[in-house]
Amino acid sequence: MYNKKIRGPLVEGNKTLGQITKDVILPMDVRPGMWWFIAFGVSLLAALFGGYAIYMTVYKGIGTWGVNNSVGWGWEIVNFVWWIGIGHAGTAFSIFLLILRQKWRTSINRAAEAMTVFAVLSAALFPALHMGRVWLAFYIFPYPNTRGPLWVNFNSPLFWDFTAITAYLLISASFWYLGMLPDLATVRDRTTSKIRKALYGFFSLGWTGSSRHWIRYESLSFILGGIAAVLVVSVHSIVSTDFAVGVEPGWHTTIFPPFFVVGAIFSGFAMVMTLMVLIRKVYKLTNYITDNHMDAIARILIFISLIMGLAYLTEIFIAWYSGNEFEMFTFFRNRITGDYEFQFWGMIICNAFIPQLFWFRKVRRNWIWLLVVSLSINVGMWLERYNIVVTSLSKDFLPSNWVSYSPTIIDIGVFVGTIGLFACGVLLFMRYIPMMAISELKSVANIGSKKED
Amino acid sequence: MLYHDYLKANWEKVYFQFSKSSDFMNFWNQSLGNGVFNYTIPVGSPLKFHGEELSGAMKSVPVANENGYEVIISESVALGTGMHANNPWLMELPDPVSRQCWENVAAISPGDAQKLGIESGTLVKIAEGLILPAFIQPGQADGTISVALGYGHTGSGPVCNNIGVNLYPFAKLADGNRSYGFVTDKLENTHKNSQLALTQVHYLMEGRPIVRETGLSEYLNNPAAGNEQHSEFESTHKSLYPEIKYDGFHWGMAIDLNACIGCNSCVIACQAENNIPVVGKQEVINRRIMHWIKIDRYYSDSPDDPKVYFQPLACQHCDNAPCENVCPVSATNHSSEGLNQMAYNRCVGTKYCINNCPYKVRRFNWYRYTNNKEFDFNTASDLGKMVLNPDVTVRERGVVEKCSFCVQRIQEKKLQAKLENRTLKDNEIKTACMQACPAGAIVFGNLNDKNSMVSKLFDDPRRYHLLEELHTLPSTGYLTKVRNDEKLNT
Repeated sequence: MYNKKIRGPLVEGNKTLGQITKDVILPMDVRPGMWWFIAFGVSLLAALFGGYAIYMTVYKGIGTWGVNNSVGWGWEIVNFVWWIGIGHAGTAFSIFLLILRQKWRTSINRAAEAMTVFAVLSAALFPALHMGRVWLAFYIFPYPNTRGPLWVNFNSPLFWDFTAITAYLLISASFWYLGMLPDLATVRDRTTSKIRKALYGFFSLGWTGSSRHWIRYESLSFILGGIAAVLVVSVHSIVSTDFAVGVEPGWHTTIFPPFFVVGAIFSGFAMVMTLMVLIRKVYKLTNYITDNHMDAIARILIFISLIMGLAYLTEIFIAWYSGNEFEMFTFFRNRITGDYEFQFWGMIICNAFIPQLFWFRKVRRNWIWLLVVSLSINVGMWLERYNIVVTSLSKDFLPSNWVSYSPTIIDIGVFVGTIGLFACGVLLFMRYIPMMAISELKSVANIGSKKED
Repeated sequence: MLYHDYLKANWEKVYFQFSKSSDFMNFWNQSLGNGVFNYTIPVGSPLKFHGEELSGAMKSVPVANENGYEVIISESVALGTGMHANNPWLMELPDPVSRQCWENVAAISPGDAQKLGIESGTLVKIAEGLILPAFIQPGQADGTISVALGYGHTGSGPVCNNIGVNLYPFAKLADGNRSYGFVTDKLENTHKNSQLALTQVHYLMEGRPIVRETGLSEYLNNPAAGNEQHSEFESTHKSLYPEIKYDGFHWGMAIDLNACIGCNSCVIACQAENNIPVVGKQEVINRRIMHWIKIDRYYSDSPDDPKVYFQPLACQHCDNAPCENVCPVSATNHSSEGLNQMAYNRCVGTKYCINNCPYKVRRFNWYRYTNNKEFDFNTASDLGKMVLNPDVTVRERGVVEKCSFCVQRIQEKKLQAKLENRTLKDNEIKTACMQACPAGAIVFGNLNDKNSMVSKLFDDPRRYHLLEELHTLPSTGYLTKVRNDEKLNT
């Protein structure tokens, strides 16, 4: 059981239940500061740049990207895997911490789930755009048709991938939205604006807060949570099979599914930390997202960072131990040394070394440090995906096919665009949706302070 | 009329003497009517070898002093003298050795390059008005520079205009002879760079058994010399899946690395047969050349005196094809005759197959190459499109394509045999590359017929498969290169 004396209160400042509602809803009631409009403008510009890049890609062709005859997947797949990884955080937070009875998740899970939805949406753009003929993307749906019927190739990891991501997006979006119902109803009940009343009233699906509602709400949460828990593990395992099923050196490894899942949770938690540091700073929510919360995330990150380091070492060891010359070349002469050593060492330093700073209590409790380390983890995880996707393809079996890869402005544009899209989504979320699960916060507000706890 | 008179006079002077006719006009009209005049040169021709004059000729070849450079002007392998420079196929055909296309370059030796700090692509000034990108050519003698003719046109057509430098002004007339070479005392590094359109950027095999090679004496002792690994892989051949059986035909191809001279005829033949688009210099630089068959060139030994290897590489039509397994829409699949085939209409262009092909022989339509003014080579105009083969689909933007073993030719001959109520004969079906190969290095046929030429070549102990260790089970086999080193060494 949670011991407040040891781990501190989950909600600081002796808040009453009414105050909690007021504090959480405040950002929605007041006009946001200038910073919000500037941030939203910049994000929108980035998203528009992405829109232009996507237009060029679809109008002219994949030729506008940096990919070529040997490196068939480039930045777009790197970004896809990166975003999907980030998209793991919300569900991992909600489900795993729920299973592990970590009550401190309550103030963070709503934002983390929102992040998941926007990240998975950003991620889902890439595989679609990556198709040479995106207007025929529906070929990948296994639907009965008049062409034979001609089915999809059930052996292809890309098909599994499509299925897994669609399922994950649906489940995490429903989990997030249905979890919001009581809070949307709270907003509906408090607002004086007619438009808001109508909108939030519609989206709260007639929530009255009756016991019957609560029972159904709880059981639905458990069912969706149970499905989502499996999906957290399956999505990135399946994404990893895009590579692990391939024959390319550096791809064809059995370590990939767990390695990818852990990596995904790593980048997801780091992104949660980045956002939480910013949210508690700009909205002054330090009473709810306390230093102890940040401390807990930091501790998890150290642990995962050690797993990541171990995974990198295992990969390198197995490459050597297998005696396979292609694997050896990829790891030792195209990653550790060679054209892509910057990306490799960047990954090692960002993912395995810098998070070790969290061993120090002072680092865990300093928001600038938290921001720096969490951002560096996200950079490191991006580099990891770059290492996997690009280095393996650029120099594989036949040296006559060896080429180098560099992105074009359109590649960069699509990436910047998805960052813009993600940021727009998060900013709108901050403005129009209660950032924390009010009802859940209330349930833990006094936890650990009464005797029966 | 002037040229007509000149031609007539020449015929009267040169060929009329061999004619049986006594009247020249009669002979002229008859020859014109026939379109050809056959004649035999009488035996005992007065032509004979004059050794002493050879040294005279050698004397007129300019020789550079110690710090100077000899510039050798040679015909380009692709464009020849430049007569066909406006042909986009030839413009994009890489030189067999340098593997570079779309312009002429100054090939310099690795030693000279190091001395002057020149890299491939650095613009060098060789003479007044002659600035070319340098290309470091292993095997080029120090103190020499080779440049190809046939470039630098200004009014010959949209493809070749203003591409490369015209070398004819530098091939001066001396004593009534044209001298394809000159001496220069400078090779100036301008410290400016340009990008070369290279179709291969790595030269070494990195110790991998890609082109297997043996010496003549070893081969005579043991015909499997240099190919020891093949039997090793063959003996460990195992699969969890039931082996695929081909009841009718099983198409296969044997490529004799000993016969291949690297001329690139197969590349052009394939391009003509299969409507392969030309993509232009920038896209070649972006490593997106579309050729379905290419001739890889590797070097070994020292850069000053390298051994050179050629290896034609097209789709291997693997029986265990890694590309087929990963396509989400089954656009690439296996035929009952062992062909790895592409359904262009089904392809959505995920490029997963490109990545998972260990031979990297799949090509993607990065842009729309037809009816597109940005790729104004031969398929943007109605006239240019006359060159297209009506038997082969022109591919849309966004689909993957690759060697089909000329499936249209296979189908045509099968149909013909069926209509004539007979079985197919060996060698009746010739792929475009096989038909064009002057060295007979490429043989295509039915592997199920034990008497076919390709089956016999597959029984040769020299036969191996590329990347056998991956167990892709290719239908294309290579025959070890046997090098006659003894002769060279003595």
